[in-house]
Amino acid sequence: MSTPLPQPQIQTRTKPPHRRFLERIGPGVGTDQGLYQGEPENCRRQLRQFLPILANLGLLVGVFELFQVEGRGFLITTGVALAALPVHYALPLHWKQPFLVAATMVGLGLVFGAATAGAIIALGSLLVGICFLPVAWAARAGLVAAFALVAGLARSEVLNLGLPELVWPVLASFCMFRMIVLLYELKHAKKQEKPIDVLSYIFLLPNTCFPHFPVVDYRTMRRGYFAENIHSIQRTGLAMMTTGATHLLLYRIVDQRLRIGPDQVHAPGSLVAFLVFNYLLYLRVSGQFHIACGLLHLFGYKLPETHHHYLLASSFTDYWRRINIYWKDFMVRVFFNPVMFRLKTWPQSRALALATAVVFLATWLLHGYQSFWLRGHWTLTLPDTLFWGILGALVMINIQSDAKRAPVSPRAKQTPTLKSRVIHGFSVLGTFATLSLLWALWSSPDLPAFLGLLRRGLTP
Amino acid sequence: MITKKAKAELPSNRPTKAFLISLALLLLGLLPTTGRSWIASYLRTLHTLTPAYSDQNPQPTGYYVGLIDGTSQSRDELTLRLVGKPPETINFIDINAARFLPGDYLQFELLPDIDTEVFNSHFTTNAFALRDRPYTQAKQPGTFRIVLLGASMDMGWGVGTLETYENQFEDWLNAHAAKRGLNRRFEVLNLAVAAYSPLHRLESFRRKAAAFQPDMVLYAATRLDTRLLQLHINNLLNDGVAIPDEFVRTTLEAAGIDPAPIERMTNGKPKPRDKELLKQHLEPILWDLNDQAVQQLGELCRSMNLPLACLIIPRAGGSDSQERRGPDVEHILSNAQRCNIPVLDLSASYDHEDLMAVEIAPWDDHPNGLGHRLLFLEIGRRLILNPDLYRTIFNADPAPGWPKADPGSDDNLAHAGHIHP
Repeated sequence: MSTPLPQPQIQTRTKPPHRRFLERIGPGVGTDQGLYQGEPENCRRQLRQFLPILANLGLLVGVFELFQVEGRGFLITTGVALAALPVHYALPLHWKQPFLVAATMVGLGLVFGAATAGAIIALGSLLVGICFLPVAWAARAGLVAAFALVAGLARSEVLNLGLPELVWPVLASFCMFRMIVLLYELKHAKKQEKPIDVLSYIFLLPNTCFPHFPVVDYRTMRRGYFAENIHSIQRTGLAMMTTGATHLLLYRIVDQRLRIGPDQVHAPGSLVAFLVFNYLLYLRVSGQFHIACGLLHLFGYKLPETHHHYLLASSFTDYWRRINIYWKDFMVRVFFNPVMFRLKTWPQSRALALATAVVFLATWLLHGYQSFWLRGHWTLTLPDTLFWGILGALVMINIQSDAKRAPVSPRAKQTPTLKSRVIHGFSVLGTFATLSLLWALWSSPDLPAFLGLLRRGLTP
Repeated sequence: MITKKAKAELPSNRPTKAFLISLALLLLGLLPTTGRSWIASYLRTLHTLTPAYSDQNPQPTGYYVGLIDGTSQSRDELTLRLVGKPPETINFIDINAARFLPGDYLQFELLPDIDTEVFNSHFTTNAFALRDRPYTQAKQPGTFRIVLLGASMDMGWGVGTLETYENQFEDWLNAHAAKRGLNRRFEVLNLAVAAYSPLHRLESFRRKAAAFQPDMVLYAATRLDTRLLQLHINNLLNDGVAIPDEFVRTTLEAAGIDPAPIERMTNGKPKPRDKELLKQHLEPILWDLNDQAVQQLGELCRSMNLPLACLIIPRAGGSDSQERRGPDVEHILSNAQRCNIPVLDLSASYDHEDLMAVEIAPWDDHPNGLGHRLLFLEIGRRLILNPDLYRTIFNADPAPGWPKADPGSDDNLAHAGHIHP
């Protein structure tokens, strides 16, 4: 009899099987790994790429919390963005926009409370609904204007509609410029827009914490949606957010440590300090705009930069191109180009002058309009009028001289001489000095206060 | 499948510049912000969301500031929702440490036996409703009692009871007397109450000081006193309170203000006066009223044979910086000189300090623990330089060899018996 051979012990497998044995679930079904069926290549999900991005956002949110950047609303919104980003990333493309709109609505509720958020969502949706009514464009625009009139009366407290007081400024921050852009687009659109695209355009997540918001262009936003690899867009967004955070922290130093009050100007030195640091308070705006647009990048919207080294502008047209680029684009699209088109038979110099004048007139009025919606009062004061008038005139002169100047050869551009560098340096300094002075005029309560400031500063 | 082209377009997985900058900012945010170095000071600024819009750091103006933060000092609902309520914006009324005295010239006073937390410090009052340690009402033999009249900074708003400059001064007086073998104990009784104007202080002295049998009076003056006077008189006139002081009534009448209790509305409440008009009439006479209140106190003390000295207390946060305080401090000094009151001018106490390091919060320029210590040290320095006052307090001449080359040095104070906290 032979004894039975000992049977080899078969160990129970505790590790999960290799991924090639696993059934594919979620993204990758049908077509390819990281993509749902029919999704573009730019949407491809890759955890190895995404996790560092998520970690970077987490790090930034940590920085915001640690420094209490911009306060409650901003911290809530970035918290919502951090929670929403992985879900948004994993969702199929056609669910991404509705999800982000829903996240924006949650953000609104958390920042402003359920009643205010509910009214804003309802009224915002009503405005979007008007845009899709099956009537002529003029009728839709008329209805939107009528809505704005009623809202304006409510904002001025002439009319009481029984809604929470914050509804009007917050709703306006979402709609006051984007509805203008949208109506312009709808007038010229060759095909019907999708309601979800329009809703995503109106309900932008970072707008829940920044009422003063860059005028995002509808067409640019649509064109930029997943326009390149999502991770690349997200990294650009993170870079913008980091720049924004740096601006906001620098703003604190300028505001709390370096800035002096106009009453402390008693000599040329203190005048220079006042002019420079008063101008640098704009870091707050550029910081907020960088963060707002950077946040949109995280959700797939590739947008242009909001500011481009505006302190290094070498002329007034250069300044106009570099500072608040979205505003410049808004003005060019809605005012400058239509005026130039209508005046195409005019001599170029006259057409340019008139179009520029229209742009600055519109800019002046729309800044007052913005102030009315957000803060409840128009800011059409004399210093305000002089600021936009003088800046408009300087840009106009610059445009005329640029138009007359012969184009610079590419070779000359490649090899800047010492002389050209020195001239450029002085141009930058001159532009900076003029703008600081204009900024001080804009900040002054009235003209005598500004003249008094100069008198005190220039008297040794 | 990921195509070669798509793979080439994928961004690299290396840490990006944004990641490294974010990490650097995070590490910066984790650095300690305490201490008196300029680095710690700038770090505190980076951590400060709510700036202090004091006279020194006025609210910035301009289109974007108005748009983002609102223009009024009091934040509106939109700003509060976005920025949130600044932490610890508590005021004296919020802590329920005072009781109101309707129809009374004093208007309000501290409650006894309070123990509550303000700015992470204990705000306590003793059984006699003084912001101070416990004392017996009757003075012990051999004790030299000083009463301090003042407002919130002297009361020690935002610091612990033992941290106030007044209590540190008391400790030093006792330690110094012991060190010199002088047979004298000291008690400094703090009669200061937040928002007390010079008229409040005068009235408080009249009503409360005598019960404690003081041997000396310290009167704390600040550049804010005229503002406190304005509030006090405004409230008195609007509440229809009879003003007992002849000099106040005469001055008001001369300025075109009727000090008599005003007519009442049907519900019995006094008819409010025109705020702007009142302000317009009051503004030019505030320093005059302030000076007369101090003069009255001087005369009263003289009649009671009580030595009186004046302290000039600066606000922290830079509102009373060198460039700003000059004319007002000069005014206080010259009035004291006219009234023959010795002065310990402490207004330079924070001149060499980082201002953010001496205020209790960026939005509140009351001195913190360090600020109170600096005030106390300055009292010591000034006292050393004033032999007459020294003799009044210690009943002895200053020790030989004093003051040293730098009378204000910590060495001198240590020599004088200062117990470091």
